[in-house]
Amino acid sequence: MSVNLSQVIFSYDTSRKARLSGEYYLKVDNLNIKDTNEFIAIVGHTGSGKSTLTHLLNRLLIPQKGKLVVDEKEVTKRTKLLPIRKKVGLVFQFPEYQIFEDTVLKDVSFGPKNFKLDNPETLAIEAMETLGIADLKDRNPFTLSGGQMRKVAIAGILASKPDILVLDEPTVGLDSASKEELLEFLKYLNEVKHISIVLITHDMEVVTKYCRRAIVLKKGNILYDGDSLELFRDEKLVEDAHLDYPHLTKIMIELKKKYNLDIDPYKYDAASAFSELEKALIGGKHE
Amino acid sequence: MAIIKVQDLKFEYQDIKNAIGGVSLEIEEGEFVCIVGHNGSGKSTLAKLLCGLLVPTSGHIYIDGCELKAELENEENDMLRRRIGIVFQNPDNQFVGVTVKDDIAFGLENRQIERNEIIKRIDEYSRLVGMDKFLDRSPESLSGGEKQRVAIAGILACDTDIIILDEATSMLDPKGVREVLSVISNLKHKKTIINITHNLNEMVLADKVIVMNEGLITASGDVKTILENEELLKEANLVIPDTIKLLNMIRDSKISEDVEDEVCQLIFHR
Repeated sequence: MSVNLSQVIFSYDTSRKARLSGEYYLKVDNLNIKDTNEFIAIVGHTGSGKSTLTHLLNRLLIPQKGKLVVDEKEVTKRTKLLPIRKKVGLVFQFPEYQIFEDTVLKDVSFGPKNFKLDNPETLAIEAMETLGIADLKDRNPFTLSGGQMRKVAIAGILASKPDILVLDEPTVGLDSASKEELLEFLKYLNEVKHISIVLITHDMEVVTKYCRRAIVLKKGNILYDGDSLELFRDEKLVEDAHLDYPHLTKIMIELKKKYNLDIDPYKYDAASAFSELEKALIGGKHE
Repeated sequence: MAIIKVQDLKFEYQDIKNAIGGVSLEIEEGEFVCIVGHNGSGKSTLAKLLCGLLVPTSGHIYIDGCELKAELENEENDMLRRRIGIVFQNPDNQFVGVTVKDDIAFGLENRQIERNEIIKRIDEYSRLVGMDKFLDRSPESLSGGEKQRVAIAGILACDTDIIILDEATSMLDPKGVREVLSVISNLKHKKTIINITHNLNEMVLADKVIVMNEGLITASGDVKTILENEELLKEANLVIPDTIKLLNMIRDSKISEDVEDEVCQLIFHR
């Protein structure tokens, strides 16, 4: 299974004037996302079209031009959307926007019920167990903390067994330990359950530590679609797309410059950055 | 004199006892303070108590020596609250205008500021946060980060003595964060700033970092002391940043102190 967008043009302004002027909010020539083994970061400045792009992936938004192909079938006006929404599950930026039942269990079961899956409650409990929130099942989701609410929203999507899980800035507002826990969980879903993960983020550490592929957007255009680590070697691209380097990389780049070191500054964890410095500064001898 | 003084402050929600379990603190005028802590540690609750959005269960809050009391219909209280502006994490919670322009004007109109001055400030602050070309746009046509910038402009335009930012930059892109941080740095020591954040770049700007855990203040000090205290960070459910890990590795190695100092300076900008 894969999702493919080709020659897509989308605009929020549907007036004749906008149409004639050729202005658009997002343009995608070709984008393919597979249902397994993908861990993709969508990055770009505020208003670059990141959320819009994810909403196009499961037909929450309908483009003015272009094709959406899911499972090798083109999605048309006649295509039933429910199966597509089941395949591509979307977790919004603010989880409270997709929670509405009065208990966590009811809320998480809503998806599988809606998609007419067998034993929706069992699926819901399974998803809640995976996320470690089974003990919250009778709680009112609106009395939970932000982090817990986000887990409920994710469980709700996960319970429907999506092939691709799309998350809009899932780590915003989480403390560093909860953030790490959530990302490790997504990694587990990706590696063990073989669910493809697509996430929007402004956090460059998330891009380098967890994602394999990065899609960079600028003003509604895809500037880059490729390896998430290689991305940072392109200084012009980083600047052009208003991105930033991970903190560690910034320090390594500065040290390389200041001490004229023969090092590769593009190391994304403390241990490999240190070993790079150690090699250059004391010739690899370390007691 | 401390512009904010809090004495043995307690607050409980219906289902959370000790959301704030007895907090005392003093913040000097012009001080830049960061509050860090795990989700649910009481940071946002404390912020809401400080600006009078929540009423404490017990304890006292003094703004510039005057006590912020619980009575809602109190003119004096109103005056105290007007000295504090707060930017929330989710901009939808404070977007009230039909357009960007209206939204920035809202707080100013409430303060009965003269029309020409309102127009001037809308122009100035929308430019400052890079939203001057969006003045007639409606909130639903803006992205999360754009709305956040409008919220920040709206609060800055009110020119309050105290500004509380509750993870106000969490939805911004890196360039947006840099821009807002530069605005905030320019206000440093001119305004009293309380910044609730998980972001290291913001912590290093602070004169003082306060760590909260389970509704209590567990530590307070300069950013370097706090970030280098592994025990404390773990206890507060915070992960040690990679940069600090690197610094510790350099410290324990034979790499020269000169490099160590340089890394230290790069991390803490000092």
